[in-house]
Amino acid sequence: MSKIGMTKSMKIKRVISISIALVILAFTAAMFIMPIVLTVTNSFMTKSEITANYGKIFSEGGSSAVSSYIADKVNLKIIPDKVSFSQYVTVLVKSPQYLLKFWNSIILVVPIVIFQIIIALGASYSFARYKGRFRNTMFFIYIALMLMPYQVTLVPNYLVADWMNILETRWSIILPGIFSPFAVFILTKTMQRIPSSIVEAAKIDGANEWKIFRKVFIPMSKNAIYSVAILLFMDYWNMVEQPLIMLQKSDEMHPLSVFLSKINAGEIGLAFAVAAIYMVLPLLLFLYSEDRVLEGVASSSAIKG
Amino acid sequence: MKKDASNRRNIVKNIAIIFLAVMLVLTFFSNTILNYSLPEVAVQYPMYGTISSRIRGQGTVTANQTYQVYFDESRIIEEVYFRRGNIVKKGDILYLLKDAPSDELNNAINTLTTMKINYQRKLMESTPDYTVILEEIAQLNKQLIEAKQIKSNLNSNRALLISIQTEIDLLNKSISELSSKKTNLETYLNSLEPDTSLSEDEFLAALRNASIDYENAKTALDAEKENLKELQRELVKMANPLLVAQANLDAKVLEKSNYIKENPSTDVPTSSEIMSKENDLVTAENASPSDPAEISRLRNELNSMIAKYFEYIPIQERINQYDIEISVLTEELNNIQRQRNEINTNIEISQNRIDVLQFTFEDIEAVYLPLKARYEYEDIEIEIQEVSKTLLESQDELRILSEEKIEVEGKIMTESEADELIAVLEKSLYDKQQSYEKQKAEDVFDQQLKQIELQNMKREIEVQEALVERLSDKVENNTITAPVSGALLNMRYVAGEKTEAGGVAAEIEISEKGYTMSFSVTVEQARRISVGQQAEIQYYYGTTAPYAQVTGIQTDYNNPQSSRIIVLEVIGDNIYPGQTLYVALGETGRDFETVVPNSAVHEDNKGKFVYIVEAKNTPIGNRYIAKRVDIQVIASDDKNSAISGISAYANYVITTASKPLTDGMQVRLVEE
Repeated sequence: MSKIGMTKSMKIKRVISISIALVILAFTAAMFIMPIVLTVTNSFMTKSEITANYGKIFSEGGSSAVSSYIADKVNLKIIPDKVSFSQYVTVLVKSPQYLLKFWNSIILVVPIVIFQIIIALGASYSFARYKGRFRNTMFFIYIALMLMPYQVTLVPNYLVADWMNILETRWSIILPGIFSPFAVFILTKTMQRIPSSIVEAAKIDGANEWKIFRKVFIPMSKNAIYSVAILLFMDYWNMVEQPLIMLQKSDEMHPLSVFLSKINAGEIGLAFAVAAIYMVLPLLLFLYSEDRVLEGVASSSAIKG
Repeated sequence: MKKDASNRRNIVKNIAIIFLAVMLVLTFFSNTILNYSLPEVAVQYPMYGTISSRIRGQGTVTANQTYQVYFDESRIIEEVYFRRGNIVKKGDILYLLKDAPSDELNNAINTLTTMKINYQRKLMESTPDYTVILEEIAQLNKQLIEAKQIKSNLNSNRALLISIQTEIDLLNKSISELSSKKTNLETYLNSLEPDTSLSEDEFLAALRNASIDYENAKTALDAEKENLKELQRELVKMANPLLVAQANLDAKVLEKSNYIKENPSTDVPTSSEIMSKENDLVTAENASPSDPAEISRLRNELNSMIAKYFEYIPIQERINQYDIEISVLTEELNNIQRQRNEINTNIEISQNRIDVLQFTFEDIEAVYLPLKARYEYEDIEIEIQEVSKTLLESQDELRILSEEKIEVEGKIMTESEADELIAVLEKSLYDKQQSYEKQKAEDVFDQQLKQIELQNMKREIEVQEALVERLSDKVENNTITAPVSGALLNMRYVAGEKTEAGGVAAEIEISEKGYTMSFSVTVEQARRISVGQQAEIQYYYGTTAPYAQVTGIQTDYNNPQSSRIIVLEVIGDNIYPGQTLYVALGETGRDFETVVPNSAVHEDNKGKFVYIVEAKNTPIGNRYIAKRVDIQVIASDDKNSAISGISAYANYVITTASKPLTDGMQVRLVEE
């Protein structure tokens, strides 16, 4: 008997169970991290090497752009035969179209994130503070909207944009994005957790509604705001359907995510390099607010629930 | 923790700023960078213009036939009368030659001389010589006789071999001894160090004196050495008596010691003690009152002491006797030791003397030996010479005997071997005789051939004489003349140069045979030309213009795919070879609405097309796209084509591009 009262057989069982758990976790982690590693390493391959390994995916489509060797099956290759920066040179130096698409992404995503949070802060404050007759109904509608897949609301959005005559403009993507319910839901749940005694204390100190909102609710929801910002950024950074529908004829306004979805055999190598560049900004954003996001996610019962 | 997080956030923020800044810069300059990679194109509007379908060309006039003037002698040119391009008449002198025999004549004379010498040499060739073969036959005969003799003397040869072998063994032994003796003498001679400083007379006197000194010193040294040996022998003889005397003395001392131990003298009073005791007694007796007890005790003690004293006297006497005996023995030992010491002293004296004599002897010997060496040297040299001579003689004798032995060994064989040898020699002799006969027969045939050859040589000499005579006659002709009339196409030699025998001295284009010219046209143009078509000669400013007529359309082998050669006959006055003429064939030009340069028109399997430039507005400025437009070519000349399919002045047409273009490719316009 050890000092904590475990028998030898119990110890062995514990070690075995931990080992099994570790193996499963390591396998799962490898599965998740593999696409990122592949993207980064393959972006340093030469065009011919990428075509040889992944060209099979596109060759059945009868693309005439492929003239080099293509393996019979797709090879997931991690280490390049020869390190080449040609894909990056093409993307960053030789072809302005990719850079323009990158800026298109930023032009679309940044306003959506900023304005959605601004609007959501006001809406959430209202939901958290005031108990009107239709509050719960309204909030239910918000949740229902949030739960719907985007594809369901796409057609109404398209019709509305057409009615507003903003099709083939960036507003057709930015406006629906700004008024998305996701941020409202999360921030409402966060603000509802702020104790009413704090509000009362503020009131006693002479704070009006605006001051309570600005000095109490926003600072106390800071972590949640970071979390929402990151999640929104990720969501809209990777959007594909909206530009394809709303900017059908305006290729020049498409974000880089759309290009990534439309790659063909001749551009597989470029796709890896573009993807690697495309990952940088969300990654930096996450690293910047990593601890706050984690705190926000942990403290938000809405996310937990 | 909070500080770390803040630092990390700052770093990430900076990285994000740098990343965005780089992306911004790259985007800003992307248009410029892209422009450098785009093909540069030159453009122009299709415009109203004239297409001339006349075919123009230029060519050089050449004569239809050329005459080459050959000259078959190697002679030096003295003067040249015409130049290239001059018109000459038949019989005109082209070159004047130097009045000297040609190389061919000199060579012919030399050859004739050589041939005559060869003929004479052939005549003088002697009759066949059979001396060698006859000699060989005689030799073989001799060998055969010897072989037969060997066969008859087989036994005597064996006995002879044994006796030779015995002599050889004796000689070998003698040579060995002589060699050994010679070596010894040479070694001794080398060891001698003769004194050559004295003259012969001085040497003999010095040798004599040194010899006497050497002998005296040696005798004295030897005598002293003998004396020393004698003394050493005496010393050895002394050893035994010394040991005996020492042993006797030791025995006597031991005996005395034992006797004293057996008879100790501890309780024996001395005479003084007895006298003292006696005095004590007297004193006691004289005392008053006297003590009788004391007197009695003292008397008893005195009596006891006297008794003991007298009892010890014989022992003491015996001890004294021992002492006397010991002293006698000690004396004897001392005597012997004294004698030995005396001998040792003599030995030391003798050794000192020997040392002195040895030094003296060595000094004398140092003088004597070189003198003696000089005395002996010549004798030994003579002896060595004699031994060497004898040795050489013995070696010669041995060599002769060895050769004789080899010869005799060659004769040692069995009877059957001797028979075989005889058979072989007989066969060789027979073969040689046959060969001789055959050679004689062949020589007779050769003699006949030689006669024929001589006749041939004589005939060749006659031919060569005729050639020399002909060449000698030619030397008198000192000119090269034109055999036909025409223009000189080429004059090969200059004054002072030597002509090449059989070479072309000049080329004449014969004027009576007419002139032609030719030039290259495209296949398309060639299709519009037919044989017999007349061509106008342009830019001719003479009074009566010549004209040309197409006589043939030939493949241009330099560019068989796209070119043809048009051959024309030129007719008219004042035409001469080398003249450049410009000719025009076909009809005059027509005007068209849409004319573009030929370089703008492309063709593939779908037909002819041009690229037009379309401008496209983009966020980073105008982009120019090359777009394919299919057209038909109505008419074309060397430079331009009239086309249909696009309107004049409506679109820019790409005339040239820095890279191959494809439909939809981005291009940049060339800077004016």
